[in-house]
Amino acid sequence: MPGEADSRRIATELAQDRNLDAVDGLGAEEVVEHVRRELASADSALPRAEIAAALVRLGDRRAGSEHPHEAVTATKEAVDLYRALAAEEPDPHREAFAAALESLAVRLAALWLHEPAIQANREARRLRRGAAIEG
Amino acid sequence: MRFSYYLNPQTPGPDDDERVIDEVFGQLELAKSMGFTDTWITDHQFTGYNVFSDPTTMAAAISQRVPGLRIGFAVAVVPLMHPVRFVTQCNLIDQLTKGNFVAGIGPGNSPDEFDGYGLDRELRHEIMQEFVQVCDLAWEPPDEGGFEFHGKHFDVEVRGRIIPAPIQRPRPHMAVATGTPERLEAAGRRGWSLLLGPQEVEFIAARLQYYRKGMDDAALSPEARARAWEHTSIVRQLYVAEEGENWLEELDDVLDTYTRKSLRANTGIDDLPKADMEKRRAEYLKRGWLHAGTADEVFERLRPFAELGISNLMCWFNFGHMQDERIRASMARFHERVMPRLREISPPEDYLSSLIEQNEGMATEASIP
Repeated sequence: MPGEADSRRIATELAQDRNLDAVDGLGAEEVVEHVRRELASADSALPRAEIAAALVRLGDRRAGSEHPHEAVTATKEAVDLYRALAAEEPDPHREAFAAALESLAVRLAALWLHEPAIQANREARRLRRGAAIEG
Repeated sequence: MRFSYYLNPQTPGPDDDERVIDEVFGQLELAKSMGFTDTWITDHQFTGYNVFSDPTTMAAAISQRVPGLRIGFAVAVVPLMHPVRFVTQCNLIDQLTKGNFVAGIGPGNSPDEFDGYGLDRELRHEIMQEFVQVCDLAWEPPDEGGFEFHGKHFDVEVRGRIIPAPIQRPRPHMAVATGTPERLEAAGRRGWSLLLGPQEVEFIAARLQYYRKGMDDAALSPEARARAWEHTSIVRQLYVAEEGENWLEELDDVLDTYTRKSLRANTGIDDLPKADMEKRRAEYLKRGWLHAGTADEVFERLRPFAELGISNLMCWFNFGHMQDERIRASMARFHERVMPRLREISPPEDYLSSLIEQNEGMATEASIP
C-alpha cells in the first residue's frame, strides 16, 4: 500500500508536471486518493490551484482513453478543489472554477450523463454572470 | 405487440422545415398502410431536435391527414404549457381522433426550452404536479359551473365548462414518462400508462415493480390495469439494413448528426471536444436507443421486449436527418421481415412477474459515477 511519501511525491509532481507523465501509469481514482491524502496532511504546502489545474488536464487526457469515467473522476476532484478555493477567495479563482465546471459538463455529456452535465454547465454559467460562490 | 410510428424528426435548418414536415406526413401514410396503428409524437423546441415543436397542432393535423391512426403524446412537456389550454386542446384532439388519443405528459428536460419560456428548470416537477391538479379539476370539476384553483404556479377560475368535451370520459387516457419509485407508484395508482425509454428488460422490470405496486395499492380494476398496460410503451430507434449493407458506414453522417443534436437538446451544450464527441457517439451505439442491422439482428434485439409482453413498440425511423428514401426502405424491410415475427411471439406466462421478482430492489434510474 502506498504511503504518505508516495502521496506527497505524486501530488508534487502533478502540480509541477505539465505533461502529467508522473501519473501516466495510475488510475484517476488512485491519483485523487493521493492528492486528498497529501492535501489533508497538516504540513502540506502544495499549491491547490496548480493541482486542480493539473487534474483538469488529466481529465482532458483521459477523455480520449479507453476509461473515460476516469476523466469524470479527475475533473470532479478539480471542481471540488476550485470550489473550496473560490469560497475562500472568489475573484482569483472564479474563471478557473467556471472552466473546470464546463470541462466536467463536457466529460459527463460524453457519457450521456445529462442531468449532472446540465447542473455543472448551469453552475458555470451562473459563475460567469457573477453569482455568489458557496462553499 | 403493436407498432407505432414515433415522431421526433430533426431538421437541418429553416430552409428544410417544409420538406421534412411534408416527408413526415408521407411516412405516416406509409406506416399506416403497413399496419402501424399509432403515432406517438414529441415536444422539443429551439434546437432543431424536432421539426414541428408543437405536439398539439401536429396531432390535429395528423388526425385529418392520416385519419385512423391512434395519436399519443410521448410526451407533452407540460411545465411549458397552461393546463386549461392543454385540457381544451386534448379534448379537441380526442374529438378529432374519435377518442383514439393518449395524453402522455412529462416534466421536460432541456435547459434551452425552460430558458426560452423564462421558467426555472429546477421547478419542473413541482410545476407539473400543480399542472396535473388543475387538469384533474378541469376534467372532473366538482360541479357543472366550473372550478377554481389557486396555487403557486397556476391561479385559475373557470366559469363554465371546457369545450369541447372529450369523447373518452371523463378524460382522455393518460400516460407518463417517469423513473423514480415514487412517481412510478403514482402512475400505477392512477392507471396511467408508462412510457419507457432505452432501458433493457431488467431495468424495465425494476420500474414495473413500483408501477404494479401502485396499481395494487389503489386496488385498480382488471379493466383499468389492462388499459394502462395496453399503452405502456417502449421506444427504439430502428434501422433495418439490407443484407450485406455496411450500415455503420452508410449511416455515418446520420449517427454524427443525431449525436450532436441530442447533445444540444438534452444538455444545452453546443459542442464537445473531438475525443468527447467520439466517446459520446460510441456510448450512443453501445446503449439501447438504436437497434440497427439486418432484419434478423433487429428482430433479436427486439425479441426480449415482445417476450416481456410490451404492448406498444414506438419505432423511431426518422432521426439524424436520414434521407426519406432510406427511411422508407428501412421501414419496408421492418414491415416485411421483422414485424410478422414479433407479432407471433406470445409472452411466456408469468415471465414478467418472475423478472420483476429477480430484479427487486434494482435501481430504476441510471447511477452517476
